[in-house]
Amino acid sequence: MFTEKNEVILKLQDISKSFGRVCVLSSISLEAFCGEIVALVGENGAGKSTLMKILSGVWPAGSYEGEFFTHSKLCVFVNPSQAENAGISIIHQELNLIPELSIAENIFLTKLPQKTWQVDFEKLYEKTQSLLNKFNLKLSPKTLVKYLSIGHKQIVEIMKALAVNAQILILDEPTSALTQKEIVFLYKILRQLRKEGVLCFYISHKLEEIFELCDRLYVLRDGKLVYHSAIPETSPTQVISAMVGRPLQRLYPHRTSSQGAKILEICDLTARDKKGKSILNHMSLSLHKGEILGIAGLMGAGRSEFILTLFGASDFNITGEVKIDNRVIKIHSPREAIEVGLALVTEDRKLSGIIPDRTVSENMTLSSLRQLSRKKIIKHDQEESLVQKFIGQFKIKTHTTQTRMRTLSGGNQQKVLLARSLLTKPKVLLLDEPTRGVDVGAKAEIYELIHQLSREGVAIIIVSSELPEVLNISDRIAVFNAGELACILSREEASEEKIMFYATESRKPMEKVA
Amino acid sequence: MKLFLKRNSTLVAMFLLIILATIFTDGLFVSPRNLTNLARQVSINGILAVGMTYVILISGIDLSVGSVVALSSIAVGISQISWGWSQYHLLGMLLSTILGIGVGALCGVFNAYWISKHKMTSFIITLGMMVIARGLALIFSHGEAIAPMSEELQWMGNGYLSPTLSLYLIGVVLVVFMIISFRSFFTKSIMIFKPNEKGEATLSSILIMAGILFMAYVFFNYRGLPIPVLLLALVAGGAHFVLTRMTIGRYIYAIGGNPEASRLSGVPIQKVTFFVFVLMGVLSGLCSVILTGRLNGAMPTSGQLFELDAIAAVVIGGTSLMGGIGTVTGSLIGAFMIGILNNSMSLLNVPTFYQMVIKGLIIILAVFVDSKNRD
Repeated sequence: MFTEKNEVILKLQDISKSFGRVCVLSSISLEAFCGEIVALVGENGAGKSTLMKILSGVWPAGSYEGEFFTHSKLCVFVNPSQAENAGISIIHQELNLIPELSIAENIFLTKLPQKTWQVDFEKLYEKTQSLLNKFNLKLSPKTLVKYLSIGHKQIVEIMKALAVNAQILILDEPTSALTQKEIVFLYKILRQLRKEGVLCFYISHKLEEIFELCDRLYVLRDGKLVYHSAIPETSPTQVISAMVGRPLQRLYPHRTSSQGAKILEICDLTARDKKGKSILNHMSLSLHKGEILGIAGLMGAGRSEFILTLFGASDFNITGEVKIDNRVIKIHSPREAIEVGLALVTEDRKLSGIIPDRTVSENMTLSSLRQLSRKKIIKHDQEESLVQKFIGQFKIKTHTTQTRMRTLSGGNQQKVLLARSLLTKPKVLLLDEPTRGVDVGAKAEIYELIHQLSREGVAIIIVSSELPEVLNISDRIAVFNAGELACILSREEASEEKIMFYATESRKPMEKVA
Repeated sequence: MKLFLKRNSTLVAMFLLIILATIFTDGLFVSPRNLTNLARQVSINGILAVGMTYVILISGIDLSVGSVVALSSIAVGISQISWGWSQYHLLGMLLSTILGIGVGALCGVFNAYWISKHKMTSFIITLGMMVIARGLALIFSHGEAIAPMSEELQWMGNGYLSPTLSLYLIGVVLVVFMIISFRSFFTKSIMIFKPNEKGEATLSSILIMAGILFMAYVFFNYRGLPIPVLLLALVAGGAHFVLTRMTIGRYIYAIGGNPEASRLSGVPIQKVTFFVFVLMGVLSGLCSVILTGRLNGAMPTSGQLFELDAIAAVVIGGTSLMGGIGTVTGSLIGAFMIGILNNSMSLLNVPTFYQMVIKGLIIILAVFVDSKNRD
């Protein structure tokens, strides 16, 4: 197929989408050409993934407003396979390959060549081999995908898209799990595709990569396109300020910090996963009573892993020392962590927080049943009044204490989970993305609660991907980068630009690509 | 009221079944004699279904139940005959009972060890145990039936409390239940069934009291309260209390509802899982004693498909196979529904082979209706 180099291949007109009352995209219009690599950047929740899901048919036509065209043809997709047939393929962060099948079978999964009643394996391997040759990959088409490295799997995904004649390729954080070498190889392939006239959308947090690879760049913020430039004409500083420069509302309570004695001390904490890959690297930090420590960093920087490791909930091999109240402690399970005075509110409410089919009351007291029972028999009266007290105090909107948890809104579920961890009377509270998927009103209330707790002397560690949140709520901010503690900034010296700088700064010298 | 009917569709279905059975048998079904027999027939499956409720609530499964019943039964038989415990009458019966329960418990510990400690799938482990226990039962019995048992042991399967004693006992239960319901009506803090829904709670209480009175009538007018039924009542009552009032009950629901959330909330998953599978073993052991007593002998081939009847009862009773949702009372109703089907079809002289087909269809229908009525 021959495509003119400067032909407009994709055109978006006034694309808007909202979930309920929350508007995630508002009138996005853009044009993209054949044979270019366009970067799409923005903070978490800016609307990048939603936009890409619309393009790739995950959100069907009718669920959004506005329209888009490929080759001046209106696109109306009901499902992803229609988008694929129209030449738009998306490569997700989590790869969608079947590990027990071969490379060839994965690439041609939905269009296996047939002869009479069976798969024509000869032709299948032949076609795959020619694709592999094209990218200079020294792999056999018969290799099972489970034996491939993540980098190679990614390439297989790309070939899978090309096998259905993709002309628009969307890559969502493609390098987050790749090694430096694999990244270089991926660049090579993307550049080759560019030469062949394929349009690539490149979603990434890593500005360095974007400046090295892409031709143009769009910045999304709060669902709007706020900045657009050709790469040579802009700089990382400009991009960062476009990404974060929002007017701050009065979302955050006024902070009067009052710190007490040192409560938590972490010395040289190092964690490796079962395969020996380094997850956390020589982390040392300390925390005082009533202090709020924010943890910032990109996805995969080790923030959640740090919290889970501290809480005894990871299966990493851990070295280093953790002290609470100047006593060295060893934590092997969440149960032990709770006993020594830690508490955790997890990142993924649905997956690891709520028990959807049980009542608000049962969800709230799950971690503290021992205090609420005598001889293992639950004191219902006491439980009921305690739960009611928290419902009032946290302004949890629920019918009764016996309402099923799944019927509550995200913000209210989060407050119940916060209450669950507070009922254990923690000395150190670990919050992993405490306001993800929570509406603005509930957010402000959760911030107020966090501050109130710190006034009561609880030390708090809060992990957040939203920079304004981290900046406004914390006394100090630890910036993580690739499993290392890049720096600790005080409230006064911290700024979004500084955090972004430390979070995106390359930890290892980047290999130059020819 | 409408909501009550919808939420308790299995209970409604059971009443319909009772009415149908009564009409088709010209009232023979509701005679005290038949109902007493029905209760006796249900008791073993009822006890197993109670244990299975716990297992399924933590999203597990126990396929070894039938074989474990057989193995424990053989242990009881050997102790009575080969070891001569039948001569010691009451003491011998007690020792044999303890031995039967102990063997069941040991099998449970074996299952529980692999499932909780090594996080193996319960389906696989108990499938293995199913074969192992059956094999052991055949080995120890040399493939032959062991009989006869002492009169005391037969009493465990066939005995009755005298009608007057039964009446007093049921009366005491009724009074205690009334006091609790009365208190809960005013304080609403002691929750028996569905708290905060007074109308429904009252209706449930009245229904249960009516049920207890009916039981008193039935048992008083025949030979009294059968021992297996008494055991079923004790087991079910205890299990209901544990599940609704004790910390471990909460943990059981939590683990089935969201294991990862439970782990991060400090729920001792290993301990609870261990307890649940050992309890299933203990109850299997108890059932083996009842079975041995009723048959007046131990057979290595007994107990076949017991696990499937128990699972069917639990599922008919509205417990989700995914775990986290379900009640002991539901499973009891489920066990009784299966019992009523068996009993009434036998009264109507439906051939056994046809009975199986009808039973299977009704199980599917019951679960289908229940799943449609969920919110």
